[in-house]
Amino acid sequence: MKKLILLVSALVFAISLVGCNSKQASDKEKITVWTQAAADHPEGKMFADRVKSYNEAHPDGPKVEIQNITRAGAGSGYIDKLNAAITANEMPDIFTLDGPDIGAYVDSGLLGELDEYMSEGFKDGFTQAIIDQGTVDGKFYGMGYSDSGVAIMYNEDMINALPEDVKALVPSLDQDWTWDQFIELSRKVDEFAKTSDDPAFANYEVPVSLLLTDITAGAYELGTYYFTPLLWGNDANIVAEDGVTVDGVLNSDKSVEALTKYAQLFAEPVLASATESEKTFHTGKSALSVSGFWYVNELINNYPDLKFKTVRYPKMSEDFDGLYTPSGSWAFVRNGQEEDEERIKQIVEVMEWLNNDEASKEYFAKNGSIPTRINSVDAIDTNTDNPYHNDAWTVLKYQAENTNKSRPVSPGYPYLSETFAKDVILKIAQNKTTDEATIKQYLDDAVKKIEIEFEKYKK
Amino acid sequence: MKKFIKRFVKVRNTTEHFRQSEHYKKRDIVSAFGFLTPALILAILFIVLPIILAITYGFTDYYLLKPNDKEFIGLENFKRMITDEVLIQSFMNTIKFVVFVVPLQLSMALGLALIVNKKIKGVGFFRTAYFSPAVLSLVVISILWTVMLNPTSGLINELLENVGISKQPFLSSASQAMYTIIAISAWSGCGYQMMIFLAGLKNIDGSLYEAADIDGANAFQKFLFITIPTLKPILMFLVITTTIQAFKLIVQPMVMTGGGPDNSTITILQYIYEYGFRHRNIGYASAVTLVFTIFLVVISIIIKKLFREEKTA
Repeated sequence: MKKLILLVSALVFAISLVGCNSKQASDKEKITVWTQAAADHPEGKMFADRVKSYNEAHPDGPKVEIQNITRAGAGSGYIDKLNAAITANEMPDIFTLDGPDIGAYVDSGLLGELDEYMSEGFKDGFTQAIIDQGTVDGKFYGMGYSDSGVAIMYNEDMINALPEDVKALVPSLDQDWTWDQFIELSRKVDEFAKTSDDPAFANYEVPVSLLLTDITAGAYELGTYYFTPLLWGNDANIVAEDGVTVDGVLNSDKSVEALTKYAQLFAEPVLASATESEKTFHTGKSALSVSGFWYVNELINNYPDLKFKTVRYPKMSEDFDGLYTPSGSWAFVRNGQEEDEERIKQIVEVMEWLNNDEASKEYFAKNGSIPTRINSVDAIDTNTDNPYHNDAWTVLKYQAENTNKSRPVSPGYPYLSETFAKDVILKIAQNKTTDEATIKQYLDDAVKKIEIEFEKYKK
Repeated sequence: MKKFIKRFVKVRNTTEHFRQSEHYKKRDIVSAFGFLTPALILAILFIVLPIILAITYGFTDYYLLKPNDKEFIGLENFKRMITDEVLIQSFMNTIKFVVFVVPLQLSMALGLALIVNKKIKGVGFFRTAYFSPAVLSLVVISILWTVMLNPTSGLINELLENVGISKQPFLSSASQAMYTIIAISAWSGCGYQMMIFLAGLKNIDGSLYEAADIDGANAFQKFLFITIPTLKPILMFLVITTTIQAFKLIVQPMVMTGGGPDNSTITILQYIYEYGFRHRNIGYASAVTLVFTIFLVVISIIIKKLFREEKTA
């Protein structure tokens, strides 16, 4: 019996040694890439195609293998697998991260910097917002493969039904407008809707759709992504430049002022709801919508009867001339625990292939992702046979080139974002809070929570 | 190990042959070991090991992105819990849920069981209808109710408005959200318990009711002095299982409210999940888990004690 146990143990040990050796050998010959896109999603397919073309163009180089791991909601599933890989020291060579999360991973020493390994001038090919998103303490870590954008969309039939003087409040697609003008238009729409029997308003529910229900459903980042720009446009922010100071920043007078303007949406008669019904704008229940860039394809493909027009994201103040429109998206990063210089160069070469001008154009064509390369923004087609598509992309293209700003870089961004979205943005909407003092209290409470959590980053 | 397995075999086997036997063959021990191993491995991996890890991590600053930099920080995590307002609120929310849902769900289940126990036409349909929520996924149920309870366009508010009651915010109001979740949870869980009560009702000897009829007892007296005492063991079983189940509330608030509004529906399990995985603060989440586990053990002991007293009474 003892002999048998000994024999089995020796066999298992030998197999594990062989296994280790073969793993190490095979790991050297391939570069693994993990993405958060489902394999059967257009985004997953475009990555798979891009990797395939790399392998075909580099038959003598290391083979690139891609794993598209489906993410749910804010990234769970994919992030859970990544966390497990980090714990087991089995991180892939290249993986994707949402732009604002890069700071947390850099702070933990998990990402490798890219500057010294990139080809000459490659980094400068990215738009400034994407460079800012991937830069921590002056070093570049994340190559954004896709940018994003938010604009205001309106239901053309509903707006056309309004009296001429109200219709005149709607800006053209190449005009800036302010939050106050947006509120004024929303009020007029609501006043008209309540007295009109125009068929365009048959399903009317609320003038503005904000998608705050996504915050309740756990997609906290959407709230921060949509509404932090209100603070930017008022010379404020949610965290200081150092990424870990919130007191005096998130709860500054300027922040309170900006959020008090946002709160105007919830003053009686309310113009927006924290609990709007599903697809409010898509189904003609709201006349206006704060819309992410993904609305364009969604509306054109799935709601062909909806006539939607697009105008710019409103400014907080007419005089503000800084960057103020929401942007940023997922980026490719590399495993910072790789120390072999030669291999790092190969990895960064693959990253460049996945993020060069050509890739950026491909991604727009296949998935409607806003290009992150300056030379590829022209790939945005604003001259199709669909005028709604053309208008929307004209606005989004303008914002990507002129007004997009990256979200702040902070090691504690996920917590910061969740607290801001849940304890401030959503709370104002749910409680229909409109007074400055209460909003200041929400911000002070949020600051208190975040300060406790951020203690660990200050050590 | 041999001694342990021998003892195990001795305890587990109740047949006369094994009870009388003093010696076990090697083959018996090996097969006992074979049967025991898979369960033992699973129990060690998924029960014993996580408990040991939670105890260990609870005293560290384990951050998921820095798995190799764990530092022993003594009672820091436990001290933080005392001042953590959201944690205290999530604990109170969980207690509130248990206190309300257990009696509500059990009384609904018993009421339904009494109805479907009647020998009336079409009762089979009602049994199926009342039981059907028990087979639906909690996520599906939560999504369905979220749509139906929408303050502006939901079916429930439409119905309320038709009968002259103003629209209610339900899940978007801090004062109503938890009660709404309690009602939905009781509705979705009572079907299963109704079936257990029904089995108990079927086992009550009809002669008891006949005797009561002869003595002139009315329906309420029969319910109070025959039905309830006969169902007591089932009732106690359901109180224990429903209470433990209620403490594990997480799906409904996560899907329907995200823990809001104003943290009015966040529960302990949701808090632990969010801190452990979303915020990656495994150390703190482990400390909370540890305290909550101890709390649950105490609750289980109290219920068990009550149950024992009930049995001996």
